[in-house]
Amino acid sequence: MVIYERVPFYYETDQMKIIHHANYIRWFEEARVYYLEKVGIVFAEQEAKGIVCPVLTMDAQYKKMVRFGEPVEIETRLNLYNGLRYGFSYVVRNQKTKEICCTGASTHCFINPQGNLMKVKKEYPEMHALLTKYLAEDSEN
Amino acid sequence: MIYVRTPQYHETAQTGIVHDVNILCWFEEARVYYLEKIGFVGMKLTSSPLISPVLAASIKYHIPILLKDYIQVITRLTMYNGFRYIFYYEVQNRQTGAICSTGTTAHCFLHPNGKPVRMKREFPELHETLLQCVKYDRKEWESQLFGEYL
Repeated sequence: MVIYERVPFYYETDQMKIIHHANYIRWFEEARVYYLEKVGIVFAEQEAKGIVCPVLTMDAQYKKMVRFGEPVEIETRLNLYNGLRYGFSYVVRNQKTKEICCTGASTHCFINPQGNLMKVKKEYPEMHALLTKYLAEDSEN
Repeated sequence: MIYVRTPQYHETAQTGIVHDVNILCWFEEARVYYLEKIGFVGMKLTSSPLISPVLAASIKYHIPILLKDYIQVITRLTMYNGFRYIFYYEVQNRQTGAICSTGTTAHCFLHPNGKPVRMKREFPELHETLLQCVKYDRKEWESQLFGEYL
């Protein structure tokens, strides 16, 4: 589990004086990239090798509105890895009050440089080891 | 209802496809277009008597969308109970007919002060229109999915 801290920006607000809902999806991406970098998987390096990680599904449940000037923290966990796909779950909390503002989940896969679905265990054993390790770690606590 | 949209350059990511979050933004565009078409006027104004926050959203990505693709968003109102409503969206490639993404969003109606709106009492005409839309959209969807069996 990795906590990503984020301050909402003014340009993320909308007319209702709250953070627009699409931005949570962007925060999920930021948190995911941050998580993967923390565990040693650098996105830019992957893409340089020709490996891309598309989003397969994404969902979000909006519980509380986040306003400009309210820093949030995004608790990110790896909650799925089956050798082909991996998934993250996210909890967005207000840093001060610790209230849950939004929860969400996403699933992804790897596309190899040939443009096909990557069988991670065979084609990229280091990645397989990392994901297996962190999946076990995240599901424990 | 069909909302036609061309992907914009700023919506692409470095992989050359439209970034996933933009499809959620298209859903919003399609939804506002739909609601305006059925008589919700002034949804975009700050003085609007109704606001309509998003309660939940989910998206499935089937086929990546490229900048050159011509896209339409097919929007259906699938549920309305006087307070909450759910839209279902299909992002379709206009040239090939392929469904690139599907998704749903759930919403409710609030007064600008955050109090829930009782649509039936406060906006009876819109309430009736929404009920009719659900009926119509469901019927159309059913006939599209199960047409040959009906």
